[in-house]
Amino acid sequence: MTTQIDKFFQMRKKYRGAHLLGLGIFFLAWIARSVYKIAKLDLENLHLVIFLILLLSLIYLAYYAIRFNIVERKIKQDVSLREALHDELFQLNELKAWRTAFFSVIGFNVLIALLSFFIVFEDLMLIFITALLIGFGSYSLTLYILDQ
Amino acid sequence: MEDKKILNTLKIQRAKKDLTQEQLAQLVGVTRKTINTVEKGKYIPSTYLALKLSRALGVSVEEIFQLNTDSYS
Repeated sequence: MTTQIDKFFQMRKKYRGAHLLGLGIFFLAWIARSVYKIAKLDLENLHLVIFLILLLSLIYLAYYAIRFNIVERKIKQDVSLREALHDELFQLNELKAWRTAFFSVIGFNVLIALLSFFIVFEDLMLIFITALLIGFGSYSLTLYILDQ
Repeated sequence: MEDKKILNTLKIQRAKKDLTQEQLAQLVGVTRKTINTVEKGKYIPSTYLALKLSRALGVSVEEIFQLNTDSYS
């Protein structure tokens, strides 16, 4: 018999996975957009396709973010569920995920610093958002892997 | 820093009590994943969880967790 704890654990894992998939698609489209923006390519059709992928993945991401938050809220409302699903192993995994995110962002910044010797980055907002995506993505991915 | 080597008999003790991982997890208030990870020796639980496990299984902490003396010789 599946307990409430296990049911919510599986639900959380499923929504995190779905959210991660959306984030991955969004990230790839974002990188493609960034590359053609930095390279100053003028490809009308590609621009439209990437814009559509970004838009659709954003809608998908928002949908799963809401579902994930509903599950998290239900977990927080129940004391026994909250204690079990935020147990010491989960807290340790969260810590590892934060550490991975931190070092991923540091690594990305070092890469950008090195590349800036050869390329002029005019759009700093683009770099900033990419760094955020890398940080958030590596946090979610680490937690997802450690939950397996 | 020295690598911590702790052996555990959690799986055996749980089997003696005829409990599933899920039932034991519910008794001590953690997820099945945590019990599984401890049983495999991938995660060393805190003193608090070790005490809860010993109480749930009705055995002493030392009966569940032992230092691997080989790693200290």
